[in-house]
Amino acid sequence: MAETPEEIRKHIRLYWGVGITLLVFTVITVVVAKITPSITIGLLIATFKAGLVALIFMHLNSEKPMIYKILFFTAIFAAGLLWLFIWSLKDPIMR
Amino acid sequence: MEIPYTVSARSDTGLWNAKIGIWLFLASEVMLFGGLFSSYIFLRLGADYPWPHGELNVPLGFINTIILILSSVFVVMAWASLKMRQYGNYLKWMSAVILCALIFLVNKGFEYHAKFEHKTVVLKDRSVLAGHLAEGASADIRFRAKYATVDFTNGNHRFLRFIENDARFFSEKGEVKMERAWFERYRQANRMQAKADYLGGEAARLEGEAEEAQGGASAQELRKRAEAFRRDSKALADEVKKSYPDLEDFGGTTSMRFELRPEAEISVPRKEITAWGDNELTFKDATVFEGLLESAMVKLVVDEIDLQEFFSRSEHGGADRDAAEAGVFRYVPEVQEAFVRRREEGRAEFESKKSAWERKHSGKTFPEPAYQGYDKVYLDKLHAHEGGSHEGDEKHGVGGGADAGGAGGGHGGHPTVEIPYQDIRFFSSYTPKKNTYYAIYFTLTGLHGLHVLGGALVLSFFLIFGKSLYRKNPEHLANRVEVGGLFWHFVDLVWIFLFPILYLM
Repeated sequence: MAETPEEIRKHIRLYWGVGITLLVFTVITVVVAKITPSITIGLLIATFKAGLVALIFMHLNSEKPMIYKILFFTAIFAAGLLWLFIWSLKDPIMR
Repeated sequence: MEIPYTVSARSDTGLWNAKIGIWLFLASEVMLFGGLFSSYIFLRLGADYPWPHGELNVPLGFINTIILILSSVFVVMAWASLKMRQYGNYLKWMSAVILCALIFLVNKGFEYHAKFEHKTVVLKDRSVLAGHLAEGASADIRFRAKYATVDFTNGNHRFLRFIENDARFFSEKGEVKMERAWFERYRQANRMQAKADYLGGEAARLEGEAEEAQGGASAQELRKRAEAFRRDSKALADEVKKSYPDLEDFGGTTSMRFELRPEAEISVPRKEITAWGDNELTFKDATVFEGLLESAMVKLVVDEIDLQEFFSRSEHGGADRDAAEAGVFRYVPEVQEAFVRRREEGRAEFESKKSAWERKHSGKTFPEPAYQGYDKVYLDKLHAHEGGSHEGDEKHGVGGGADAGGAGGGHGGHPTVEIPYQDIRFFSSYTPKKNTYYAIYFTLTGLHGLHVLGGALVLSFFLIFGKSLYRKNPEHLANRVEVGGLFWHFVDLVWIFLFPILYLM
């Protein structure tokens, strides 16, 4: 992670770049939603944006191993929560 | 004692305290919002009504997204400024973050307010009129009462607060002041009298047993006990008479009929009453007013017609129903023709698009769900549509409300109509009561809004009181801002998902 003032100075361009990318993709989300009702595309764009925030703004691109260990379990459990609905769709008899 | 690792990192984890603390907290936050997003999926899949599209203010949501993204950049800049030891810049960037948070919350306030003010009226045939209550109008029942039969048993006196004039209550003996203290006293007196009656009853029972015992020691004993009961009962009854001389007249009654002078003007929300008719109004505490029903209706400035449920409920014939016969057109007959025409055009357009696609991709079915947008129409759009494609046609729509029986005039193509309660299946604001979409919308955005508020408070604290810590140890303040910033980015990250999910899909 950027720690010295010099490194941070170098990163500032990156932060603005990410900010602008996020703004651009926000516009894209709205435009795409007008063209197609596709949920997948909307969620893909949102995931991409969220990834940028997490990796660059929250410095997850270069964190200590301990943080990744915590987040590994979080990711598994959160994914479990979001996949729960699959069981609600499953009907072994009527399919 | 000095707390270790507030600034420097532990050698084994490579982290300082607050850093690992905030990540553990964010992990739990992920689970909290994860649970709610999971609920959203369940509610959406299980919805037994067409999931709403385009009911939220997209431009406002878009602006709020922009604001949160900018604030995320600003909070990184504030942190970077501290790292570069530029305190002045830190103040500027952090102020910008707080400003963004405030703008976000104000926008949210506008959005919520609009939803609270927007009303939906589902008619008995499930066709829907949406709009706003006419200015100065309320959806309350208005009733003019000459008599009231007040029920004393549960001491509920809520009906009093819905009488708008200074109507007074008269019994045969004269005026009775209807106030909380009066009800409480009456309840108290009733309770004591009941106890006295019970003791009297016990006395009588014991006397009876004594009679059956036919003399002897046990009969004597029973009589003695009966006497004691009798004494207590009388003492209580006397006390009631003495303490509540003014209530003596009603002793033992559970309800009483009063004449109201002048006649009471009652304005009461539907939820406060259990039954109503042309000449009677019954409150939840069983108090009944007799008189004349003045109005039981909603006066609505209509801005939208929605026939989605009208067509989707199979028990009423579902899709086979005739659009022109929907109940809403009794209230807005002037838009019936335009609506039906537009709907048919929309359907034809969808069908041709569908069949063209299916011809091209032989064998596959069209992926888009049967988009029901043409069953739901904002009157503004209907008028714009009509104005555009039928120029020179006879004057249509706007102002047509004037000659519709019972319907008043409108403004800007929004007719004002009066819908009687008898015709209404369901009435609601655009709040969680309306449907599960609004329930999850308010839960998710409300919780997110609280996070914005909480984050803004913490960051404001760093902004206002940061100077002394900065002088002592600038790296420590930088660490605090980094942790506050991590939370702030998380709040932004949640909104990145909320915006498309709630506003666009």
